[in-house]
Amino acid sequence: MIVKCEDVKKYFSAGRGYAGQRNSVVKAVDGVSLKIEKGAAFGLVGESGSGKTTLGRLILGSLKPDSGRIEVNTDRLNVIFQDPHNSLDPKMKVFDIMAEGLVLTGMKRSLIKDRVGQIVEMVKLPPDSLNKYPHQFSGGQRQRIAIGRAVLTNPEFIVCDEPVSSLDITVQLQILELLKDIRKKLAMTYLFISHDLRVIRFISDRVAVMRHGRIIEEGPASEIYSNPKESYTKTLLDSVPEISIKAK
Amino acid sequence: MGNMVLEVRSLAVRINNHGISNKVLDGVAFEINKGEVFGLVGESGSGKTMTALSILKLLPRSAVIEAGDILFCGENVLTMAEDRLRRIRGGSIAMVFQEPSTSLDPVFTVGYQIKEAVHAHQDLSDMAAKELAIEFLERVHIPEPHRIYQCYPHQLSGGTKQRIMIAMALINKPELLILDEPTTALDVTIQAQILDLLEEIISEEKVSALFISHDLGIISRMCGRVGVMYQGRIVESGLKDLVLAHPKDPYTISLIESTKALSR
Amino acid sequence: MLKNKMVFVSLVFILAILLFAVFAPFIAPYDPARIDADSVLTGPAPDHIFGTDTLGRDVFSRIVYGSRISLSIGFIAVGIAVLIGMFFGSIAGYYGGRIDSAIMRFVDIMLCFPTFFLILAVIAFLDPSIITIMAVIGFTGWMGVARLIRAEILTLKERDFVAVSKIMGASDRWIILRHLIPNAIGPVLVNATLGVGGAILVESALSFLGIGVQPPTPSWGNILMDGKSTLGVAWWLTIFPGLFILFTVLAYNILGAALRDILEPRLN
Repeated sequence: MIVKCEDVKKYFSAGRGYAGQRNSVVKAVDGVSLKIEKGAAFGLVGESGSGKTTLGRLILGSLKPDSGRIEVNTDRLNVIFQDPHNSLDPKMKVFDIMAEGLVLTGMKRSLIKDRVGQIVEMVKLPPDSLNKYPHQFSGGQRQRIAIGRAVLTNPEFIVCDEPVSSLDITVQLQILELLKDIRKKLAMTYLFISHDLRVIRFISDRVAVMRHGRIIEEGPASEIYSNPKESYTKTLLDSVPEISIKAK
Repeated sequence: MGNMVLEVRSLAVRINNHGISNKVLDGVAFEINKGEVFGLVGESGSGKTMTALSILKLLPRSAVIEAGDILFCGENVLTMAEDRLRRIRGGSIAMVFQEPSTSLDPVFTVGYQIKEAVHAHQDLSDMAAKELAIEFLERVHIPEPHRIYQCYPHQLSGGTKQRIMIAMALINKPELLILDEPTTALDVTIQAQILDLLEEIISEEKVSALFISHDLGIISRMCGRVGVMYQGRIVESGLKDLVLAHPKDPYTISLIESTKALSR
Repeated sequence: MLKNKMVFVSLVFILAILLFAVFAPFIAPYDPARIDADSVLTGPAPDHIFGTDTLGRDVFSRIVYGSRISLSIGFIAVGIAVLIGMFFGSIAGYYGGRIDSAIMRFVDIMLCFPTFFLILAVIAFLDPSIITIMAVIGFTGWMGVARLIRAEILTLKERDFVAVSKIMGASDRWIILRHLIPNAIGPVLVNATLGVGGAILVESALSFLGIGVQPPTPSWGNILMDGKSTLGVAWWLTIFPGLFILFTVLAYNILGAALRDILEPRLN
């Protein structure tokens, strides 16, 4: 078991009235318990305000919970964020961006060069990418750089926070296939966060549906999608626009 | 003319920015018949928003229309006088944008803004305009329309704001409604509600519509005929069912396949 | 376009002054300290193109050598200010909370002092040497940089690439030096360029008042001081150094504005 959450809560105070009124509290995460097994692709789906991003940050350790326990049984973890414009330092060359994790561990330069070279191949970036800057790449390619960076630190567990939401659909599919491929080759455990049910369905084997800071339904992906029990889950699934070919 | 509300012929638009010149539209052509919902589907950079902005001549200053005609009910928008164009914008041609929070002015109540839209195109007293506004707030299924009328944009949810934008677009009884990714910025459950609303109100008002989206699922639900845009051109167009079932263009095929791969 | 021409001219001018400073011994026709009792207060002439001063020293040569003083004081003072400002600004911006408040209060206090009078007071207390001047201008001019860096870092630290570095185990120092400062430096460059102009003005003013660079070391300011008493009879002692100060500061201001346009493009 890589991740275990027990009744995790995270509240934010949202603003103060100018007459000294009490802060209004946003219950971003309101009592979440879950387990992510080693090797699993765990999908966390919810709309905006559901708390899924906050939960992701809590598991990553970027935020500390206000109450409850989070157990992460590995220190080999990394993350892929949504916005390829935001997650790469615009002033750094691609090589340095990808190598940063390894540089921080003090690895030898020559070894780093080799590893980066291998990973560039794995994420299917053109070999001359290393000397360029992020702005010279498309959104999809930047996500490949971000994925390469994550994989280079040899993690056991990667949190993917909306990794394909900013991309065109044809590119989304390519990136998802890449992530699936990496999972197979490196036996990766994923926590996959998205608002897009189609994406979660494609990549997860276990799914949790979040709403207003709570998990309202959880189970194997096939179960949740074919046999949802909660009405909110049903509404969510019905709302997804699928291609329909019938007379208009 | 006759049955065509909109006819776009060989539209070519170029953008010049800091010395770099880019052809964003390269011979776009399509028509929208009276009463139909035409879908324009394409990914980012395909030129679909540029097309919509061209119809109302709302292109950024760095854009140049190099060639083409845009005929709205027979009149060429591109050669129209500025004040005639201004009367058409928001009146006979209305537009709903993607982002409801930036479409509304944060310092005025929504009611005031809807009234403004009415006053710009109809000759009604303030009282009558307000009544009309409330009527349309009801038609877009906003609960407690009188209370919402007094609210400021920041107090309202994205879905509510988008309903208000739709109300503002339809209140002056347009001939053509342009919808540019109207649900993309909304949560998926709200998205479904807004699409329901649009389906209902478009058929009630019998308004012709141009529906722009990157999502084939949404396009296939809302539109009768579609045009697939790629790199500034329409690479395939026709009846939605035909295009989706028997696509000919390689880009269309890849778009459909990617969408299907992520479907049930 | 006119704006581009101005920027080009400014760049050329700055380069020329730089060349003056670096190659002063080759450009100046005379030794700037060379006294010539026969040619006291002569006007511009073929052998002294900017005339001579009260001690018969060639004004042009003194201006050429004076550029060394003005530029070095300008650069080093600004350098000191930028280093101090970056230090305080990045710590305040990155750590926030009480550290931020404390540093910003300190900045506010420093800003309360009328800088020029503070410099006057300090110089009067110490010896007016070139090093003192550089240090004092630097130590009283870092507050703008601190605020700029702090503002940039406040937004930058929320960017995803910072979160990723933290998750990969980067220390605060690494993040500040490797990620935040390189991205925050844009506005600082603008501020620094404008600051060079400002520093040159301050030095000239101090020298003009007699408490800056001391003669015989030539500085544009102290040539002006000479010119003060001889304004009626020797206009060249005032006009020429004055013009050099004017154009140099103007050139740095134009360059600074151009940098601002490049680094912070405004939306059309």
